Amino acid sequence: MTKPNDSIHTSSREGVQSSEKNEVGGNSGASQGNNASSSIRPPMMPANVRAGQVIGLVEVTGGLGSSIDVSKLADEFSANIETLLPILDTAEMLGLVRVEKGDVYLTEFGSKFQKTSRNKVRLVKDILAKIEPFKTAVELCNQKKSVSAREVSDALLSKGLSWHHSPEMNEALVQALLIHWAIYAKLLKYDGRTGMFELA
Amino acid sequence: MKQPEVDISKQEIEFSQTTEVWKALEIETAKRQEITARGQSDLEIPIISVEHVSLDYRKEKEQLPVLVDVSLTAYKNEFVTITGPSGCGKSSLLRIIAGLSKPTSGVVKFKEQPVTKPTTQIAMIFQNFVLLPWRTALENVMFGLSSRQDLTEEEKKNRALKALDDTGLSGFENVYPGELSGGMKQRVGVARALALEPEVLLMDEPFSSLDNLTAEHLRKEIYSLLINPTSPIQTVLMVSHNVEEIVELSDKVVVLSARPAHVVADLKLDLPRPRNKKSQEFFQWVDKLYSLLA
Repeated sequence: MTKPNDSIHTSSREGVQSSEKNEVGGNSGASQGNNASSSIRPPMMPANVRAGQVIGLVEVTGGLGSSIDVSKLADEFSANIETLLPILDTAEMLGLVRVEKGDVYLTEFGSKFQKTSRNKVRLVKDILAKIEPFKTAVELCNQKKSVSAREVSDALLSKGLSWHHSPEMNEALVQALLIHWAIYAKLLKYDGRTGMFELA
Repeated sequence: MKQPEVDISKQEIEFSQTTEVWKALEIETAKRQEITARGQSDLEIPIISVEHVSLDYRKEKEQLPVLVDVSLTAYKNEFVTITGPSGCGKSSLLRIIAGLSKPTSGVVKFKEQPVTKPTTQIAMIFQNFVLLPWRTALENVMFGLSSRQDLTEEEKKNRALKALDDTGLSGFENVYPGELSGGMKQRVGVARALALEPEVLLMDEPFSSLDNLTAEHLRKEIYSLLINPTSPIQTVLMVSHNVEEIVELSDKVVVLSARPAHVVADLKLDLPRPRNKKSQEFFQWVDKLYSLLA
């Protein structure tokens, strides 16, 4: 498990730890490619984790008032490690929880997130903008009016960042991440009729 | 001494008039009492009443009873859950309440009027979302308003946009169902129902197709939408087999037996809200329902 703290972790080592855990789940694995250097790289959102799952995790943890053991969390939601750990990683990446010695704690920001009644994901907009693939998507949208998931995926590949070895699967995973997070956070807007993303 | 002349006729007239007045007052009082009584009973009229509903399926010459003499009521501000073993006919009952199917016998009433066909006053959310994949989220919500001939296209669009915003899907108007997660698809289903501004919301296992964490979050969101004072929804009937979910959400639980299903219990949950899922009382209700279902 990555080092617990309330800020997003940006070290490549932590990113690699995160990706190694995700590779347990197979296709959802993220890698930093052969060109990964030891320089600090932005963290990568685990694929196949949905905002609703992270919100559910925060609400359950917050509802308990204190911490919850990871194994108990898994029992509570009949979730196996393959499903739960990427969700925990994502929640940690967004500064909502910290994990210490197998226990999950809500951070102060996580507590505020949990108590917000509507549009919770907008609270993490600024943090998301620093996480891939959102960071690259926003950069490209600043350069051009609108971008496709393919363009974002190709740009990430050129940086040595991918979620899947197959370009088609990688594009699909990038598209899903952008739709399921960036629109919720009002970072980007999307038109399914054209398949293009723009700044919100 | 001569007695003054009394105009008997006038007295009689006055007396009779007085009598008439008293009679009129009595009638008026009785009317007022009747109106008052009727006014009180207005509050006690169930929004939905299922009266001795039975349902048989016919296969060639064979008749398969599914529901037998099922009766239940749902009043204003009540969240009623119908539960029972898998395959007992819960969803069939909900479809009858929605006017989508006809019972073999018995009647369903909405505010004392028989439900014989679908109505915009009763909206439904399905387990498997049932979204048209070739339409965007906005178009799917607007499709639900297609029966509202009294609304212009602009009004339908505005209602649909508001419903999407209310369900947290602002920004997803032009996204296709195939691009949405399960939780988002169900939100579109909810928005489609809410756009009709119905008085009754029927939910057929609305969270069972979702993973537990997403369902946990969506359950809370939808419940808070329903109890919002600005919501037109007066009554909710839900089918569920998730016991914890039932105890978390419901004011009343109707338990059906295995097929052919009849009502084995009609229970009022007297737990305070918000429901504390870790309280002893919560566990006791969960235990009670499991015992009834087992």
